[in-house]
Amino acid sequence: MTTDTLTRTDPQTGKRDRSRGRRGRIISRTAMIVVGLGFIFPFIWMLATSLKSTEEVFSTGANFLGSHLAWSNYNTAWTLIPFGRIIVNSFIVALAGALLTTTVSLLSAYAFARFRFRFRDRLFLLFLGTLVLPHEVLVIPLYIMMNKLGLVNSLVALIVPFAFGAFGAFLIRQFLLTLPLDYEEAARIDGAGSFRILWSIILPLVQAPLAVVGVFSFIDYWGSFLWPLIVINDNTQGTIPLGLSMFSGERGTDWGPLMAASTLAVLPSLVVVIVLQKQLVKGISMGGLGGR
Amino acid sequence: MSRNLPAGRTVSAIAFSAVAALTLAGCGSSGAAASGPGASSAASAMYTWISNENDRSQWQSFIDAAKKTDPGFNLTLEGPSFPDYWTKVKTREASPGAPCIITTQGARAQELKDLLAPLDDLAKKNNIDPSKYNQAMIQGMTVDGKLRAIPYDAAPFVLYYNKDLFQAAGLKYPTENYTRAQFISDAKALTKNGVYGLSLPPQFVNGPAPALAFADGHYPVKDGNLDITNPDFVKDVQFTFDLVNKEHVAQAPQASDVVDVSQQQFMSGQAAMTFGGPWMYQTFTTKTKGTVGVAVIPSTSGNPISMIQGSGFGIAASCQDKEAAFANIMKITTADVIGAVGAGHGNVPTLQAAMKAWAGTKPAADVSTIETLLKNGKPLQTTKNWNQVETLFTQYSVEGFRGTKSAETILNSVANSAK
Amino acid sequence: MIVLPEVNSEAMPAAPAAAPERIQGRAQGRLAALYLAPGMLGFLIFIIIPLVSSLAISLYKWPLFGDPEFVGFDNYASLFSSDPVFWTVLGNTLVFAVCYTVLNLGISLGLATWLHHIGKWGPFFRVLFFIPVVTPMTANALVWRLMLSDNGVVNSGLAGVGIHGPSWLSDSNLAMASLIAMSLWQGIGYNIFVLGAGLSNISPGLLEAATIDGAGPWQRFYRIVFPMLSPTLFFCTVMTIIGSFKVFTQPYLLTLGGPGESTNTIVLYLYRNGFSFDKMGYASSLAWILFVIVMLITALQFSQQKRWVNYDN
Repeated sequence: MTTDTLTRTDPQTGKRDRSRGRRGRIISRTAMIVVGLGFIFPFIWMLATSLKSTEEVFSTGANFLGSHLAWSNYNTAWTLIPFGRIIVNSFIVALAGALLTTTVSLLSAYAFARFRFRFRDRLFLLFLGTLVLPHEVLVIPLYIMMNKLGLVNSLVALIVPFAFGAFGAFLIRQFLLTLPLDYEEAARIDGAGSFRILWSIILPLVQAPLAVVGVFSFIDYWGSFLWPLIVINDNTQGTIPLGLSMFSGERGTDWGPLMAASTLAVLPSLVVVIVLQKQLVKGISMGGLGGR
Repeated sequence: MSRNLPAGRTVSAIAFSAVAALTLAGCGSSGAAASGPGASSAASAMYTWISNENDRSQWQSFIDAAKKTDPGFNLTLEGPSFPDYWTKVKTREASPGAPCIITTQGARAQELKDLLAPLDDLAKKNNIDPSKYNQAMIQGMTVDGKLRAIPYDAAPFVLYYNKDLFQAAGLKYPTENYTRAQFISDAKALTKNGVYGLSLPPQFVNGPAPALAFADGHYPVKDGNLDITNPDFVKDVQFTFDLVNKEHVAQAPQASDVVDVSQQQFMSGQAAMTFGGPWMYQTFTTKTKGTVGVAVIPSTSGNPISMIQGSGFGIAASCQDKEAAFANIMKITTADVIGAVGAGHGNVPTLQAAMKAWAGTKPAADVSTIETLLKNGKPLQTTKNWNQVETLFTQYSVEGFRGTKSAETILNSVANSAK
Repeated sequence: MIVLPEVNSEAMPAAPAAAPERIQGRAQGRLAALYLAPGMLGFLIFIIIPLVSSLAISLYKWPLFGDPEFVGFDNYASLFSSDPVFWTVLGNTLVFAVCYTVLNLGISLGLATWLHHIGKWGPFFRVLFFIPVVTPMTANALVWRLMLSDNGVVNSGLAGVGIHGPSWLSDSNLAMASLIAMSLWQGIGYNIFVLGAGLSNISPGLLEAATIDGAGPWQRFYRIVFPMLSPTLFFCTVMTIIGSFKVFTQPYLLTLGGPGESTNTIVLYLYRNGFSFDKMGYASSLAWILFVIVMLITALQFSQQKRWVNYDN
């Protein structure tokens, strides 16, 4: 692990030994390309396998392509389990979950950062303590609860129980504490109520941490597996991770369609990251995880 | 940071309204649609293993056959894959709006007894005569003296073999007195050029071990208690493990393999023999590279006791309208329906009246093999915590097949953990 | 920098004073309650109550069907004394947590530093390493299972260079290593992101000055980078360790906890006991043990943070 064998390329760093810098950079970038390719190899292999007929999945060894492109795998994947329905379910769960989490987090953060009330700090610490609580500890009582409420096998059971973690509220509160109060004071003097202030002044300013909370909870809901595995017991009601696992149980070695389904499952997350990468970087560095 | 206040607000407004809309959508879909059938339709809903093509078309053929006599008949199906079924059926039936009809194997009736309503009174009311059914199956479906399910097939485990591969190796087909010695020598002769003599899964009951033990009269359960550590049974399991690590006539399975892996090895011609239930008959005979024959399970003496582990339909204890559910079960367990399913899929009927339909166009040798097995069969009975036994065995067996642990060590571990 | 609040009120900045005349203390409290209501109600219903119930359930023999039966501390007693698997499972989870956390932080710090110095390609590769974090774990685990199977691409590749590849998932000595490798691939992207953000906050001028003073790369790292990065590293360590105790999907899909018990983990064992073996009480006692362990480890980390985490820069 070298920190600085390579010459910094910042323009601020002034003049340096150019030739060494350039050669170093070429070597460094070439090495990074190799590492990066190795890193995404599983996805490449996923895609490659999704286009092989099942017989050829193992017989082709390390070849990327089979004798022909088996596009039919995608068709099989789509029809074997109600995949369309499952994708819609996944989107409903991830979007509703992310929005619910973000909304609740913002309201709590606002209260903790801008109001004074008794036990505020103790309550916040108690709340924050659950930041490190593994949700897995709660699955049994939550399952019993959902069962009593008749919510087993419903999307509500997938969305609601996990929208109240401390992470979002913590992140937004940290961010709020760094904002100057002048605008809010001015608005209050003009007679704006607290909700008005939240809506017109704070909301536009906290877009970045909101985006971070939204994206991370979307990702969590999108990939969540243990809880759906427990609370959903009908193929058609599940989300993608559950669908894939059932798929593998059902079609032990139908690797072609299985990888086709996996590829379809990976795409949305990929799009989310690529589209929102700016917000992610910004949010992580501003939302208190690195920036001050 | 967004300097553009109106835009930020619009985004947020959209977000808030989307929350509302989606939450409503979520709640809406969690109603009747999501939580499965209501009380009225629960009676015509069945929870079962519905996974691969074979399962799907099998259940469909039950429905189609029942429609012939009652065009209005219908049954909605839901459920996971077979290995997941034994975990999921409990959580599903513990939840509201659960299907009334539950599929169970005779072997697992013990485990599901709390879910399954006793059917004796309903059977009397509907003039069902249990003596008409395969007795081993009725025995298997009876827990604590109460009948828990109406059996539809009596499935003696069989040995499937690939006739073409046998011929190519210059071997005689297995007889109805197939011995273990002959089986080993055949398997060795068949293992060459990347083809194995046998394919097997890592699971317990779906694997060869219990069937081979049964054939010699050794059973995993005695008087309702787990007895997998008795020396005879241990020896039979070791025999199975040795097929891989000593005789090298089969490939070692991986823990995460489901039973399909070994089935596909057989169907693609990479293995000459495999063990399975008659419910695979149609799939194997139509989809295997080569002609498939059915043989008895090899035994030391050549007179095997067959392991019978068929399935049946029971009614959930929580079912609101047990009468209606039972009426539906009656419709799918008539001799005609069972016969039609047997003809199409190979499931051996539990009703004598359906045997003719089942034999249908099957080769006489196959029919006679299965009839031989039926004559001398015992139901596979298991314990209340069989799911744990299965899970553990699958976890541990990998090391047994690879020869790193002995059957004795493995079975002792399983028995200790599954107390 | 992230400052995980220490347990004293200094870390809790005072709320802004309310405007005089407009909102008095009590009214403010009421307003605050209004904003807090959704979050705190959910917190109570879905976190606090289940946590307490979990403890209660662990004192029962609790089947899915039939009535629970009170057994006191029997579940815990049998876990610690008669369960042949529990200690193995606990050991596996600890091994996984330690190896995974150490390797994860080492690799992600190395890659984050490398990316920090690679110029304008940095952001692209940072996103690339982040991809597995956001793709569903099930899909990732399945493709790894395919790659690592006995005649999968890894062994085919090795065979190509004349090495007979081992059984990555069926050999009890290798299964855990395979699991850790897959989890690292899945998880390092997040820490690369966070540490990268931390690195970009270190002013280049500071490093320049150190270079002019004649400090070599390692000295620069120890004297400047590490102290300035320590709060971020601390955050990553806490989060990564907690995450590693929850490992479930990887063993569930790659190895089913096998071969033997070599990859069985607390959460997998908890899931099976609760939902496959019909022992919800027993599973709840496992859940509480997991809870206690995680809390202890977190407390330990916080007590140690003063030693190496530097908040005043």
